[in-house]
Amino acid sequence: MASSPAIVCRGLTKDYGAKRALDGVGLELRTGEIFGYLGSNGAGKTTTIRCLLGLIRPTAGTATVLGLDVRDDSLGVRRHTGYLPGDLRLYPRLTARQLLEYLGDLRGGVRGSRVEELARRLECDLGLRCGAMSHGNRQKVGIIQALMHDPAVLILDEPTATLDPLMQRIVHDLIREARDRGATIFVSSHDLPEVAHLCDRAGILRQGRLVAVQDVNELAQQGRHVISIEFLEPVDPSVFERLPGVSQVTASDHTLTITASGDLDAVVKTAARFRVHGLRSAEVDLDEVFRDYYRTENADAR
Amino acid sequence: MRVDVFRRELADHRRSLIGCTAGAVLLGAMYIFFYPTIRSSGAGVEQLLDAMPKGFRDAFIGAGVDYLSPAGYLGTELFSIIVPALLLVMGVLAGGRALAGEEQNGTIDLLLSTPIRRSRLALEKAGGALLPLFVVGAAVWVMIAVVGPSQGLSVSLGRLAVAMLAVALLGAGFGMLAFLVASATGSAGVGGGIAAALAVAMYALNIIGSLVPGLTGFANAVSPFHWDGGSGALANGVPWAGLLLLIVCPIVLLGLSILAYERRDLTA
Repeated sequence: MASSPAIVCRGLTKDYGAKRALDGVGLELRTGEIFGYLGSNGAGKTTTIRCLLGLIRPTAGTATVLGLDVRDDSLGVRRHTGYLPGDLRLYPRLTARQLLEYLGDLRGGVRGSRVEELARRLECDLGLRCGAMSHGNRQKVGIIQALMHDPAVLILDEPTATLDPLMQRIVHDLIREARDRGATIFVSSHDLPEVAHLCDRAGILRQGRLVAVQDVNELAQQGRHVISIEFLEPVDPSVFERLPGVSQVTASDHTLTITASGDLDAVVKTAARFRVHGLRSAEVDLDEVFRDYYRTENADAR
Repeated sequence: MRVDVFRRELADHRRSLIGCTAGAVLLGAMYIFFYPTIRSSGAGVEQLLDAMPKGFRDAFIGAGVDYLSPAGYLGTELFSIIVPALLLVMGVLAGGRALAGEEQNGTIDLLLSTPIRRSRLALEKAGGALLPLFVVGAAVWVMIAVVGPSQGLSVSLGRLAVAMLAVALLGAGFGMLAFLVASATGSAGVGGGIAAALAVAMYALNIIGSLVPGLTGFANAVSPFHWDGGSGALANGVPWAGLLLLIVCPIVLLGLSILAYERRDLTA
């Protein structure tokens, strides 16, 4: 049997005046998993996270982190949590090292060697003033402070949004290492490929409502692929329209643009019957996935 | 006990504290060095003062106080406007900024993701905002004690200390009002603005109270600028009831600030 869940939300709801930012979110994170929290901007990802950290109070519902209530035992939650804010701001006049020492002191002391190790891996110069740092470097400092005390729970709000691909990979490595030593990671993102690549499971948040929680492998299956195939001969689009999973085929000259979901096996094998000049497959479109979920949900409601 | 936030607050604003202290000490010294000249022009000054309405004279110099005496001169020149104004401005600016500044700079999420209670954070921030008032007050006290006698300005150092304490507490009171409004709204500007406006209103009320006999009782009871003994504090001493009010007010305001802050959703 799996151990008790690391993060639990029950009916988590947050209103800002008349606007409902979070609507009855129910969620369970297993200990030791990387959980992706997917949603477009304004979907309620940051609102959920700030509720967990006790920065805002839910209008209704409850949440616990490591069994500790986020309202009644916020101090305990924060003691065991590392947090990277989505809109990270540092103290511009402090150097990165001074900032990390300050935050470390507030945590009752943090091993300096761990800070140095993280800085080395992220190639972050701790002697620089935060105000003089590039956006990417500030983000690295934010990642260091979230990880430096080796917390049991990591809550990361869009951790790699401003990092270049190389740094993204290093951050992904650090997150996986944290998981491998038993930490539970809650990572928000609006980037489906990133979540598919990094996470074990993912939840999709849309307009404050959690519309799905799935294994990332399943989720990727639901994504739509847009495949453009350039043939060396004219090809009848109807050949592809009949294939399973294909929702749309448009033709221009010898190029067919095929929108398909799920397994691409049939599309590729059918294309192989003709002479192919080139093939391009666009990234899975998260908005499409969202729209799918939204449609499904509306259909269910009827 | 560790007071990391308090220490950080002082370290972050050490330059402005040094500047304010130096400014207050130099300005105060300037008035002290004027004293021999003004005293030697004796009769002319008295005539000028006698031409003022009695209420004004009492408000700025103190009832029954001889302007040219050391206590009268220091009380008028330093304790009626300059030192209280400086400490008020310091208190209101620091009080508004200390806690709400973290929200407006967007650093509160980072700070409060560490295991520190909001009440503790508010206490340390308030301490960091208020300590400079007492540092400046103490520096001016030392300066007067050291430089004053050389210019013929010898006053009771005990009475001077109480008067200085009262003025620092006045600044602390309005500082904590700014702190309360800022911690309830998340805006340093709103906090500082409301506290500054109320300070000006209370100052005006104090003057009006000494000009309009029917309002004197009300103004004296309500305006903190009367509680500290005003310019007569050196000559007549600080009234104990006033001093008590000046001590209680910032403490109550700080308590309310913590209650307001603990219940609030912090601005992202």
